[in-house]
Amino acid sequence: MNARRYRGWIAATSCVFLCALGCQSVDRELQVSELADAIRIQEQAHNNRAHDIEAGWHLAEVDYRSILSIDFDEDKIREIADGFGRASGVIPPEAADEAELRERAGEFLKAAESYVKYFAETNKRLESFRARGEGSQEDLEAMLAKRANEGKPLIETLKEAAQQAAFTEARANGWSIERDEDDEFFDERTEELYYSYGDRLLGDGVSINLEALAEMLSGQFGLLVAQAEANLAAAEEAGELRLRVQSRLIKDGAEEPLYLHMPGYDSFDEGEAINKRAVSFNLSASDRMKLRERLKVAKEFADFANQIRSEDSEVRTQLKDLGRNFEESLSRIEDRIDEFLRDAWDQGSFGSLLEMMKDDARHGQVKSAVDTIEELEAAGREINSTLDRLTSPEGTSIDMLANLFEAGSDLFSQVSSAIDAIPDQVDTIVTGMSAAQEFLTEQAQDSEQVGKLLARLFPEGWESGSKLLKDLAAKFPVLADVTATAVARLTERTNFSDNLEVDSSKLITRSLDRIVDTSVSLNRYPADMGDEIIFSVDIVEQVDGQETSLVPYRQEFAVERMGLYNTLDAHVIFVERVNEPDRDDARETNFAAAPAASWMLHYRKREYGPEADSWAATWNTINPGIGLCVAALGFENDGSELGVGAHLTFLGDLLQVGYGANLNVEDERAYWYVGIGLVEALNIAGLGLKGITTQ
Amino acid sequence: MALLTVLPTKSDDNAADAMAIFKSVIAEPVSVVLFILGKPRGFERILEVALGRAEASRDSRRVLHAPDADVLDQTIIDDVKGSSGRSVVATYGLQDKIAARLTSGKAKDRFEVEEAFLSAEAQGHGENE
Repeated sequence: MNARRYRGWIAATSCVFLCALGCQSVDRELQVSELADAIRIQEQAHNNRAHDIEAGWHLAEVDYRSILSIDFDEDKIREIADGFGRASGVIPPEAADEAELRERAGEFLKAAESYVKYFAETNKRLESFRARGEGSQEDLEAMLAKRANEGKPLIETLKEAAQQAAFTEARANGWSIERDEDDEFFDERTEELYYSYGDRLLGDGVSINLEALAEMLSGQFGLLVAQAEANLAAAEEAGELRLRVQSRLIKDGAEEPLYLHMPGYDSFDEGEAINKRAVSFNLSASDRMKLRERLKVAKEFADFANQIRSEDSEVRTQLKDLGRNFEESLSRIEDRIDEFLRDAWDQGSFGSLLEMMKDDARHGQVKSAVDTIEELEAAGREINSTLDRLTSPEGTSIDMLANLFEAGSDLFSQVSSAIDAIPDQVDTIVTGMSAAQEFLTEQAQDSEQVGKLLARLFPEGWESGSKLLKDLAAKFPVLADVTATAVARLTERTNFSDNLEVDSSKLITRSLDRIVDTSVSLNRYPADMGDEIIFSVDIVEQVDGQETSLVPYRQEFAVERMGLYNTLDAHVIFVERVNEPDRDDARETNFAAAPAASWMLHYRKREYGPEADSWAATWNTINPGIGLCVAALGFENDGSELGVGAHLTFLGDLLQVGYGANLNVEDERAYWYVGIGLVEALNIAGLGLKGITTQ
Repeated sequence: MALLTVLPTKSDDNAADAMAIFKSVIAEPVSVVLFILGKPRGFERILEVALGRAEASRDSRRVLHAPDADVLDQTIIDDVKGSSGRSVVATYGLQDKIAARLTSGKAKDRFEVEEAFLSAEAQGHGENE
């Protein structure tokens, strides 16, 4: 018998005793990491390279064209499930393998018997050597060594089995199994119990007491079978444990997840294959649609920016008028009321009016009106300040564009807030001022002077005052329309295909005895950089059709484009002729904004895994690229000239610097330009374009 | 040779022979020795277990007890105590070197003692033959 073979018996017999231990100790604590140990995730990249992704690695980067293979350790999963004392989809292995276990126990007994015989034979040879000097010392030492090598694993197994059996019983009795630094048991009862196993199996003068061993195995086996039956009954009562596996794609900015097909664990249709060639000059129908939409946005933005920059632009004039009218309206109201009060009481102020009315029931209404007027004044100052920023942007080109974004965003927010409040504010002012008018009219009955002043203040009656205020309110929607339209142009959304699965009812749980490995093919879905994949595995309990997750496992992946890839997008570029023509009728380009379509080439390095290098993270942050660009220029005719150029791009597609030529002018064709990625820039400015991906 | 050999103590007349006796027991051909240093906790149980396991192969296993450690060289004592300093029992193998060390708790465990004897018997012939 060799040591290798013994190891098999050790495993087998340990199983018997371990089962006895496990069956009596189902209350162990389970950790999420236990399930992580049962899962192996491998990314199979499009270039046929594969690497493992460590379980639990948060936001591991995966390529958008990869296939994620998920392998399960079925034994480990069932072991975890067994810890709950529930059915794991099959009859518990200890009961199902009853015959096999009996066979293994028999094998162990045979091995022990063989060892005992060899032990006795060695003893007989030793006796002959001592008594009669028969045999050589070398032969005897070799026999002893062989006996020792066969015996050690057997004794080790018996020791472990005895410890497990004794410690289980000790725990059940509430006895300590701890030992001190000299390996002495703290609890003498445990010591006595454990030593009793050794005393029986390794009694004085015997190698192994086979009768005691057989008796002990038999007893343990009986316990095992009884416990397995009890476990099965408990499992049937408690409900079956099953495995649920799912992957969801969270598109950048989308609220609803898309379920990805994982063979064996759902009835979703496989995603439609999507052409994801990393570098391609071909435009799909979807690409064309997106580019067209983006160019439309870019063109409108370029027009908008150019108009605002022009001193005589209509938009700029309108915005200025709106601001001025708003300011004048507020001023007129305030002036007329102030004048009225001054004339009436010679100490005109809202404060004095309120003081006069402090004992009057209408004081609260007038106070509210006065407060509201002050609020309006404050809002007016703020909006006018923002209008100034919007109509007179500081700086040039990129600075100006950033300032415009910021001012536009602020204005949109301020006006939206003001619009919501205006109807109530007008009502409050009208109500308050009516109350003031009534009060003052009552007072005026005793004062001819007041009566005259009232007539002067509202020659056509109080209605004229109300109308003034309502005119003011009416101006807000006009102002809002202008800003909202501008912002809407910049926040047009491009939706990805929406015919994907969002229905979780097609998820299938599997019995733990029918676990299969699975995978998810990202290359068949519109997964792209910026998206996330949430992968989850749950051991669920099914009782009366209801599923409860007992052991959850979650892992998130960040989708990236690895290696060489291209992007196609629309941009706004700010164009400057290298040399302005020396003609009187020529206009200066002066960094005029123009819509442009660009094709760009990038290379993303893996930051983790075997292919990673030390500066991958820095490279990926800078994310440089080269690109080709076509633009609609207006050197001599607005937007009707074609320019072509090449550029370097940084920070993804955020910034471009390039050089090009206008194909439709006769002279001084060359220009250079700086560009800005509309989508990235608007995201940075907080205007929210998360639904648009930069494909 | 007897199954159990007890070394003289410092007060015995033949105390000076202790090291010689120790060496002769260890050096006996085709035999392994379980050596008990002093009178550790649970000594009676330790001695009972040691003799019981030696009895199983009485022509190759010996038990040697030194009730008084002072009769031994310090190097022997240090070697038995091991790096932990807590061992009180050691087995000497066929190559006359220490094969296993046991604390008092383990020296009362028949499985541990049997494994210590087997380690001594395997000495010099590899563990995986």
